Amino acid sequence: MSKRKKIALLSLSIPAFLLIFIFMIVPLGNAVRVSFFKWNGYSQHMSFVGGENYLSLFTDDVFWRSTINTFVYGFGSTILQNIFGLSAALFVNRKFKGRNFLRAVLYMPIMISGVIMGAIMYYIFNYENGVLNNLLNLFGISNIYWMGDGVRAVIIITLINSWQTMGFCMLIYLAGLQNIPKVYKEAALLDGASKIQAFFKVDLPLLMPAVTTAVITNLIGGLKLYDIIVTLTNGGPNRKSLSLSYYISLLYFNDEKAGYSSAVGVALFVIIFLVAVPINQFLRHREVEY
Amino acid sequence: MLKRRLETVIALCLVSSTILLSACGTGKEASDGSSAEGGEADLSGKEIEIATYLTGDTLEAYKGVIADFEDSTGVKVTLDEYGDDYESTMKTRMASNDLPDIFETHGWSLIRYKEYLTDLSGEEWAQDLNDAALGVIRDTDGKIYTLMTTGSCLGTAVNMDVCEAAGVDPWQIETWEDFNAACDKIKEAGYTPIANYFTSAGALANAVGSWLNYEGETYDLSKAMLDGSWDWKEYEVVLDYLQTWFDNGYLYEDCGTISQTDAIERCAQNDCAFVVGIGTSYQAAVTAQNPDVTMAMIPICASEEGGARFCGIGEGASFGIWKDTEEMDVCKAFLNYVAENADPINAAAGEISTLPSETTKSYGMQMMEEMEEHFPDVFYDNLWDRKYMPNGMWSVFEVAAGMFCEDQSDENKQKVIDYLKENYSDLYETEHVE
Repeated sequence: MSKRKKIALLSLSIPAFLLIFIFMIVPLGNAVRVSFFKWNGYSQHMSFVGGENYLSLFTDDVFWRSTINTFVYGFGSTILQNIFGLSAALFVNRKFKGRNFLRAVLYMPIMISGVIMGAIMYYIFNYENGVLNNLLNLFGISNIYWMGDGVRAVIIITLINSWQTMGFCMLIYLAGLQNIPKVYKEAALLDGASKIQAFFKVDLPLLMPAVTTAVITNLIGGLKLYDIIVTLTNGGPNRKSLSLSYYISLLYFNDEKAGYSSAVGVALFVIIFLVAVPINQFLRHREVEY
Repeated sequence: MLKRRLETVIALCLVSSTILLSACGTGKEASDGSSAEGGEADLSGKEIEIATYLTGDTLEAYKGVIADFEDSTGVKVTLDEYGDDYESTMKTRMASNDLPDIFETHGWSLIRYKEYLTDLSGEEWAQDLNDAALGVIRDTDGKIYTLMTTGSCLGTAVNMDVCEAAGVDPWQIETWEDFNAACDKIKEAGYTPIANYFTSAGALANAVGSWLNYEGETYDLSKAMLDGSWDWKEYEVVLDYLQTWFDNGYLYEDCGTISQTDAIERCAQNDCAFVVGIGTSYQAAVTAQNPDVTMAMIPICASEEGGARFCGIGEGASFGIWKDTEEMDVCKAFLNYVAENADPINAAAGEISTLPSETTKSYGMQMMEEMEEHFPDVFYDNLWDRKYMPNGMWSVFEVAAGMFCEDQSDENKQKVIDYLKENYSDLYETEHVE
């Protein structure tokens, strides 16, 4: 490739680099800078505190609780979404009447915003007059305070998030399945492989590019979970269902601890980086070319 | 040929970058600077930006006043409706020192926004503000920074129908002891006595002056709170009392996760009797949902016989002018116009009027008048946290409310107090160093 052509191609990526620089690199750099200050987030006065904000992370119970929650949201949702998404994809990949309708129905929840989904679920899981408790009452079961316990709230949020984004996963796997040439599977079946063996020995290895995309996308989405939590539990009870993303927002805008909030933000960036990069590498090594 | 293509590509990149950067800038047009000073005719063609926290009917009423102002002056007003994101957005705009020409101060004109606001004490309408308003928005130098057309009056919201069904006369409630006796009767009658929700700082911040500030010599702690020397051990009495609400089963099981919307809904269904430390807009919202419910307001109880029963007064619909606005004359003209035409805003807000109003008696004013017939000696003060606590304590109380709601053991009460003390000292130090 000639030097001029290289320069011409490089220049085409300038707008993308510019956007990444303005909206990602600059804010990240600024967050690192602010994390060394004590600041309420809006005053014109900031005081330098060195690494104090980072040291505070070690003694902050809410930070650690939110970190654990974030991992549950990230990995829990990813596992569930992929299992159910792949199952759904395998099912709707068959030919049957109403297949397109079913695909649309399964994909539909992803089209609802997380904020709206959280609000809908709030009315379902509400203690008084909640849809779920009203149904239980019909069977003589008294009201259950679904969101009264932090662990239960985290599990419910994970399930809702998994259900909502399962359709996206299904779509990725469906595209992957439709790209696999049928001859490989037919050959395996002719050679006497069972359907389960054909799936694990033929379909799944050839689906690895789709698995990589689905896992990484879902993992990052789960680790950044924010909107459903805001409207469903508001981080409660007693800030026990917070994700790190929501905790960052609360610290910055509500608690007026912008410096500390930035330190948590940097910690979240490092966590996502340390988790996503090795998983991505691991999955890429398992991809098969055909 | 390739060179030409390359030039075209670079040119396109530069154009797109320019568009991107200009899009990132402020959307506000600069003033043309052509107008002469003074005179109503000079305002025509000018533009101002107003940011508001208002929603619902009050917002619609405000929009009506803005439309009339635009028609009569030729000024173009851009209204930013930030809703729930208002505080976050304003904090971001304060950080970048790029504020709207006029913005709502929603209870924080003195302790949060003052350094960004214009002194309005010389305006004509400032002379008309009643004492309740001045007690809230005037600083120690006699300056005021916001036009407060309505004020929120915080007391104890009462569902009269539930009280009547339980055989309780709320007008006889004077002390917390009386209040608990009434709650016992309401509970016996099968209702939930108190609909306070601990997702808000209200219970831990709004009613506490009753024990800490308003009992004369016994609890004269106000000075210590203001000079940073207050011993937070004194706060134990508040938590000890609130614990009785939990121990006696006065609250909803899910009081740790519900919101004001739920409390309004349940009250509108005649399911609960009281909410302590809430503004009259609550009663207005309940009756809007169910017009058949009879609501009233009583003061926040005294901690002992003969003590002060009080109501907190806070900023309602209140707007100040950014000190660096390029359109100061337009902004002042707008606030003058609002002051002269505040009736529809007051009527919609359901709060108390702070300017002389000849045509409308607001819902809040009616509530207050009814309350004063039964309690003529109500003591009015600024909202407790706005007066005695440093800026930022509201959210600290919010977290503390969640902590306390989860566990009322002595050990956890100490943790709550330690948390409050630590943040109070930190915020006090920050505020006074600056």
